[in-house]
Amino acid sequence: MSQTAPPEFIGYHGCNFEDVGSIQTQNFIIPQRDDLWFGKAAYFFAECTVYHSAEHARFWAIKSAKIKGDHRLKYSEFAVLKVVIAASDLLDMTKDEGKQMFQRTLDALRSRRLPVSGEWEDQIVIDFMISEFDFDVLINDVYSRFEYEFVNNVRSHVPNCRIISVYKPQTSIDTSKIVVLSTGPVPPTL
Amino acid sequence: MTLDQFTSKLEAKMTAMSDEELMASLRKVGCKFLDDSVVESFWNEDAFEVGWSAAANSNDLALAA
Repeated sequence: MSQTAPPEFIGYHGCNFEDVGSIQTQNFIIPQRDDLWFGKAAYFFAECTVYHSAEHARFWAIKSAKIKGDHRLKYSEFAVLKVVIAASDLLDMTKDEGKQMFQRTLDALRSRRLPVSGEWEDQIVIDFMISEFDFDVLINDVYSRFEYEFVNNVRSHVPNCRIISVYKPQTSIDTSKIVVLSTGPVPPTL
Repeated sequence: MTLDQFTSKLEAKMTAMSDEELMASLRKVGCKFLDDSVVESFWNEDAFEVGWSAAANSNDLALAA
């Protein structure tokens, strides 16, 4: 019986240049914070025909180096990595089926009337889906403010980027296929 | 996994899990419940330190950014 290879996606990741070596040898480390968009994952801008994904990763790398209200930088050189992501169990929220899976989970949780503090946050619902149903990759379109949107204070409800969230980098990402796409100095904060 | 397969699994899981089990599962992914407030206020300072000192080489997308 032949096994079908999992679908693969190209993702771009902006980061501190100093982290490139450890990423290439140890893979991505998932931050254990509760304020990430779609739960505890490594995040990438997905290559697709709609969005400027590599540029978004570059902007994010530069933005992440800066400290709000402070002229100092967290790091002085950035890198953009190109990564191949294999999705064995994909939750694709760019498709109707994925949106419905999320909505049905949210409805099911709400219907239990548990004494939750506040509302059901996206990242909690998604992390619950990941832990209970073993999805390893999520794809979703979102609106994020990049350079132009920041400079011009543009707000919108129309997505402008496609995000890939990888919950199990060790199995989804082959570190030997990580390519350093670009590097450069982080421009000083104005 | 198709939507039908997912829905069947979701319904089976929700039926099988008691409220306590479901809340335990949700707590593991960071969900807070009203009863947690007393415990949380006691540990708040430590939790803050752990959360922000967690070493990560990933350039994550923070809501607060």
